[in-house]
Amino acid sequence: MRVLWVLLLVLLYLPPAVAGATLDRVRRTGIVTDVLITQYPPFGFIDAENQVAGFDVDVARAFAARLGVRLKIETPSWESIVSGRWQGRWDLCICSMTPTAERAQVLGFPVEYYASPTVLVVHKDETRIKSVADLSGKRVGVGMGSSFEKYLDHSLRIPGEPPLAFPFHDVIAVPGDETINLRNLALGPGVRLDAIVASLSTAKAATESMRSLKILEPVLYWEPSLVATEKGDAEWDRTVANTVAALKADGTLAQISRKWLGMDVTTDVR
Amino acid sequence: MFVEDSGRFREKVWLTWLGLAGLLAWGVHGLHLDIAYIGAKLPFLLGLKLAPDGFIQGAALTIFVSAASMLCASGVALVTAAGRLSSNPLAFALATFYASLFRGTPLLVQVLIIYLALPQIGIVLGALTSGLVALSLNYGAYLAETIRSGVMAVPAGQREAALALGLPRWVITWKVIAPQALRLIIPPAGALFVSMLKDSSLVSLMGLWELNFLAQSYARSSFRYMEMLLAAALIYWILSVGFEVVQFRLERRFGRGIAVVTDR
Amino acid sequence: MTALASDPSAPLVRISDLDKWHGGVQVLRRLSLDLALHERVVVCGPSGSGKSTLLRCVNGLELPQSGTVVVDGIELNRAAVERIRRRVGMVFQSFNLFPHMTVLDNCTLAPISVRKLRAPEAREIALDYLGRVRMVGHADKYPGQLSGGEQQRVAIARALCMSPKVMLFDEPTSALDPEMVKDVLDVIMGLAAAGMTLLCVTHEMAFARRVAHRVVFMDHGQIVEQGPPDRIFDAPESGRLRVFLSRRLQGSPVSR
Repeated sequence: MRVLWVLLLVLLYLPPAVAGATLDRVRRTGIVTDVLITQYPPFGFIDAENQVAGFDVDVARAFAARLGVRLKIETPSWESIVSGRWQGRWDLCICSMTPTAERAQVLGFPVEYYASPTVLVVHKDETRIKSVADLSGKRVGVGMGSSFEKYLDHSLRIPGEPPLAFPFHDVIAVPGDETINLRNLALGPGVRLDAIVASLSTAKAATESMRSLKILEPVLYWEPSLVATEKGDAEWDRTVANTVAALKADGTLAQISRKWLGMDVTTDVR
Repeated sequence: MFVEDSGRFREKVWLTWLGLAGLLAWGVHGLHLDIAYIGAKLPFLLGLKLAPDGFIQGAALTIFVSAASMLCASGVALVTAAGRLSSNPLAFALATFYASLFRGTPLLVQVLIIYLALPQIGIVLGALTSGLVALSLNYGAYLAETIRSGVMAVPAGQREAALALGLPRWVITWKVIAPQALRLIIPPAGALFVSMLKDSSLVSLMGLWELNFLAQSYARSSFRYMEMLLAAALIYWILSVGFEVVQFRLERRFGRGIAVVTDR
Repeated sequence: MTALASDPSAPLVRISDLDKWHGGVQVLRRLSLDLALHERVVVCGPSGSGKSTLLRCVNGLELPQSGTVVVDGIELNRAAVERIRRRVGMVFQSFNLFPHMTVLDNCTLAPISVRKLRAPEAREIALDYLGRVRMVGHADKYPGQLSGGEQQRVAIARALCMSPKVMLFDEPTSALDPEMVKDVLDVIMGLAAAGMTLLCVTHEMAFARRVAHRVVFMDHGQIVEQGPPDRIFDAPESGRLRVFLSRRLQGSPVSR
């Protein structure tokens, strides 16, 4: 009886098609479904009118407009997106994702749309840590499952870039929620954390609202953020790459970038 | 020991509650929270406004998911309890296996398997459906055990007397055993459902904008963590209290007659 | 259905060669007993002798491993058990009233569900029987508001509402305080006077003397001796019966 019940519910909500025919589906339904994370200002968040807004959202809107279809945004958990096998639920992820070897096994990364500087954040009263080399043996907070975690354990490889230098060793990485980490760092140098590795935009937003943090120069490395798609659909990947290239060429991306980040991170600046 | 009469007792209980509420309010006031911000976000948190995609959100979604899951879980639990009490070896084996599996694995794992892993073998469920299925199957397993123990606690003599009268099986089950078992089932079942109210937040993993997700999103966007988390906690609490009132009424209705031993 | 149903001389209840095991223990050993219409039989014996099991085999609450039970011409098996139970009323030591229903509802449940009587008719019959057990004034009370003796009287009325042909009593007064025992026994005497066929397990010797046509003494799952009450109580033949009686007379007061 339970089986029947489950089957009934399945029938009530079976989306069309399977991966491999994404472009056909998008053209046929006139809708492209994008996923992003809404707890990551200024890239994705919920604004005062309860609408999804941010850099990633505006890029998605421009993408849909360029393609001539409507945009539908969904907000599943990061694990759901990153584990791939979307089974046709979603078409692409303009969600500030950095490619890694594991993710590349289940996702396609057709095109880069911006590069984000990664920085080191410390408490403003911090005296012992002056640069990334001073991180050895310290407790450093990073977002759970993020590329920053990989950076700390020396395993980060950025496809298409020369290997990174890791001038530190034996760092005690503290993976967790980024916001909670920032609050913990704000308690004081070494109280719960010694430092945090995060993207510049996250760091800027945090230092602006919590006056007790500061960002160290220089930028540790540039993290490319690519549009992610379900793996194996070459035709759709080409479409995505071409559309984003067009948005770059006519300055749309640069405009969105300046609006949200105060600077252009979409054109190659290293 | 002397027992105070119930009127004075109730009076003092309410006074204590008022005092605690005052203490809480004073503590919250001392945090200097941005009440205006909470006020601005309240309609969204409560679900009085719809999400951008037109679906219900916030507390309204939480209530809907909880209620729908409770209903389905009850159905699943009844079937499972019947299986666990059955003398049919196949029914017993299936029911026991299911109950053990779904009580023994974390709810989070179950949700993710249903939403992310099933698609790999071709079963693709929508976000809301996945959440309802996971919650119903998980809580159904726990509720089945509660139902079974309630039924078993009804004295054997009741069943014998009913059989001796020649009552048909369905009358014995629904008119003799069930009302007595319900009196014992309702308190633990109520506790389960209050817990489900909070576990319904797991549907946010699939992109649904329930109360917890909204509170966290707003908190991160505006850095008003205290305001949003407290607001969410308060709303959950009010929902729980509302549910406990319902449970109290149900307990009174099913305890009728049985609890009245004092006046001879 | 056998020919016994149309044979007026056949016993109402015929128990033949019952064997019953509970786990590894044999509780009934090739036990046979007949009960004729309007006959009243009291079964006594030490605890563990199988008296209750015997009673419960009559209405199928227990099914024997071998042997037959025929009630009103119907042979007892899984298919026929419900039909037999409609003809047999049972009163339990622990009353077993339905606590979540009023006294009246307790009595009308079976007539409405089984005999498909309409509610007003069932109520009338129930009130009539409640009157006979002198519990009419308590019709709207819940069992929890009644004393043990009152509950047992309601239990008797509940069983009577199904118009059984034979009534089984399983130690009906053993769980009652002494001052309530008389009221219940009086009710059973009233049934006897009206001609009800009774099979009663009890320790109340004086009551047995007054009400029984035959007393059956059981021990270790067998009938050791049976006969009219005067002979059984005053001139027991078997040694075991004598030991049982002497213990009984020494141990507990006999209610008169």
